[in-house]
Amino acid sequence: MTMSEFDNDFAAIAADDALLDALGRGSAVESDDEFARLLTGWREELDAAAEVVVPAVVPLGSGAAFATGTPTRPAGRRRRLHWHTAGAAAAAVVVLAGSAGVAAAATGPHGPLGAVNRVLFGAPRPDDSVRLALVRTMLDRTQQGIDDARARGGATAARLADLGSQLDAAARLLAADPAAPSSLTERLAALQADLDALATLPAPPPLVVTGPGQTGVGDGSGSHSGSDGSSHDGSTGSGDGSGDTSGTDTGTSSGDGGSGSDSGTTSTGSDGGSTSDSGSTSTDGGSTTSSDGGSTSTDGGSTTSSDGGSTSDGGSTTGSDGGTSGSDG
Amino acid sequence: MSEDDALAALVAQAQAGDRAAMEDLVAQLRPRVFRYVLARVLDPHTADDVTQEVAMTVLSALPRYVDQGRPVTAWVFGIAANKVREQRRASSRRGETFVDVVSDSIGDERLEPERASVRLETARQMAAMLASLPDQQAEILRLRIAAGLSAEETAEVVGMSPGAVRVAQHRALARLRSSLALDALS
Repeated sequence: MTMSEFDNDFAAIAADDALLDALGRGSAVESDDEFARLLTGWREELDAAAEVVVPAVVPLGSGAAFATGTPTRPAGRRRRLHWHTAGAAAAAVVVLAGSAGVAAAATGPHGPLGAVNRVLFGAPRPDDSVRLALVRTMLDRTQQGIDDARARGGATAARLADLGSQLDAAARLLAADPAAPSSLTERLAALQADLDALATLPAPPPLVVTGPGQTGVGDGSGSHSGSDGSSHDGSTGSGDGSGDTSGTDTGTSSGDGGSGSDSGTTSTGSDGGSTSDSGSTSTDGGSTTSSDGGSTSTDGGSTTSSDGGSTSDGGSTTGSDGGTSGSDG
Repeated sequence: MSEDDALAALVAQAQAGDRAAMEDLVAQLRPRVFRYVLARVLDPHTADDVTQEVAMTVLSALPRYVDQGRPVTAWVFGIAANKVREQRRASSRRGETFVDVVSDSIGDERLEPERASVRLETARQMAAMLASLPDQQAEILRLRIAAGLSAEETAEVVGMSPGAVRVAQHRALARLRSSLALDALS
């Protein structure tokens, strides 16, 4: 390479870097270069979609807001996307925070944020933590699922597994919160009993037992892992994030017996995760956890290390990222 | 204060239990994560759901997050990439077809009425073009353009040096330019 070629390359690299910086900022790139216009159009389209797809702001009002917040989408649609229920349920809370937050971004830090605060954290219940708000959402969701199943005269194994893992997640969150009101604990127990009763009804669709020794987990899609039963970690299955936190926060927690076993499965690793998905199973966390593998595995390990865990979230991702996306497609 | 310093400050406040900071953090990250996810899943509804998952995970992992000098965005988009993967695994198990390259058959008519105004023609075209690149190069472009990360932040997400990212993104763009030129010829 001659010196001038080197200079040219260098200039081209710098020019592209500047172009990408501008695109990343969302600045329209003035150019007669067709390609630059295409990239600008791409980003503009994504921006436009982001503006349109701002979740509806749910009517405010403490706990009830969660219940009214969920059915903003058709049931079928929601069901299609229930990949892990507890996570999704928990996410419902963030919908509230997020959507109003976005709205607030336009109008300034005050006003709507205060309203969100009331919804999220509930003025009537000043002791509510985010965690308890999540628990309430999960319980509401489970309740709704149970009601649906009753109305239909039964539920698939997968659905029951989802509900079960959601309850497990809620239980873990509750266990991790010493300030949890007993009303929630009682409601959780009642729902668990309802769910158990539901499991005795005949299940309409086929039940596929995925793993040896694993009971009723079933679910052809192999998905939602944690499912069945109780004690172990459906919670982890449900959400890397939420499950974990409960463990770490209190320094640990009861539920962690469960997570101990987790770490075993999780070790299958980041994207091995994908295999464990279909394969095996029922023990939980396998599937879901795998993704945030970093965090969960450490979780089981011990609390102290958990911090590293969290940061390694990103870490694990990056490593596996390139690799996986291939296999994904 | 740089943008990432500002995010890091928000994270610290949120960790200390400042709820407004928590909401602010989500509000700031949300559109960026959404754009990135949408560029991959090409379905606004799914992207919305995945974005919420990301926000949830970020919030719930906050207590354990330790600032090790890595940009906050690297952490967040690491999670986002994972969530997209999970979503895909889940949808492929269900026989759904959310992939980077989506045929025209998955069109806007799948959206609910209020979202039908979302047009993703260019996003689909870009997804098809990105699919011709090595995965890492495609990811770099998504992070740079859709998510709006700097070269340094992107470097942290993909585990490369910033210089390597700049070279890779240059190669990626060069490749796309020439394929676009070829298309124009044919």
